[in-house]
Amino acid sequence: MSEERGRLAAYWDRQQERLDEVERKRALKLPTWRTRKRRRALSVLVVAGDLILIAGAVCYQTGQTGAFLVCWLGGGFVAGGAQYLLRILTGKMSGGFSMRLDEREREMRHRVTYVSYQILVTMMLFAVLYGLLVPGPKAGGAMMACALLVTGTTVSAIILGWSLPDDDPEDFEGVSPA
Amino acid sequence: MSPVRRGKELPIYNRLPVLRAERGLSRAALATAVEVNPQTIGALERGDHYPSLDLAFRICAVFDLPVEAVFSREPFTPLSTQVYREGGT
Repeated sequence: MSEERGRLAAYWDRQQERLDEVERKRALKLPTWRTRKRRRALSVLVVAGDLILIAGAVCYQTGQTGAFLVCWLGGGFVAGGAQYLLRILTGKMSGGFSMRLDEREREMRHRVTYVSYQILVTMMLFAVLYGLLVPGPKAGGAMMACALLVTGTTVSAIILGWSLPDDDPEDFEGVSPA
Repeated sequence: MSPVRRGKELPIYNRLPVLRAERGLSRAALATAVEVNPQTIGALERGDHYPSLDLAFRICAVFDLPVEAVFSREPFTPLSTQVYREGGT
């Protein structure tokens, strides 16, 4: 039992070291994009993609299949692409394990997570009411819930992208590129 | 930005930039020594983040100085002024 726990602990340590390495490499990617202006532009793009997804869910509810497909695929592409870039530019605060963050990062992540959780809960309540009250196909409520769930999961990165300041080049002096 | 709720009228000043410069330490090197992200050292120097007591002690241990030599509630006078005027040289 303890040997198995030791193996699990060693595996867990290796995974964390691997994630740290990924984050170290990621922290040096897109150096010219690490400004508040670029992060905010990407945050707006993620919000736009989320809104297109929600519009797609409304189209599904009203039976506009073509518009639904265009919105769903287009919104997914816009939100997914911008979210991927935002994930790189906001670092491990938006995706790393808490135990790998230092006190400033952990504090900021906790604050952002709390806000995004509140927003997600509100969106889920809206999704429930939408499914119950808006007439349409049975799956319409599920499509709206899906769009709002995707939107809710992007809120943390959106807030971080909006609030993080420009990176200070001095922070990276002496840090070797991966 | 501090780990505890604190009024704006109670800032914590620090001498990190000058101490790093004296010892030729980069932010990254100091960050490695105290096991934080280099951006956290930058945030401390800019006053965007106040350190926990644990982090403050770890930083002081790197410089081998007491806490009051590195952190203060009052703005620090330049070290040169302190050494040459107050030291009486």
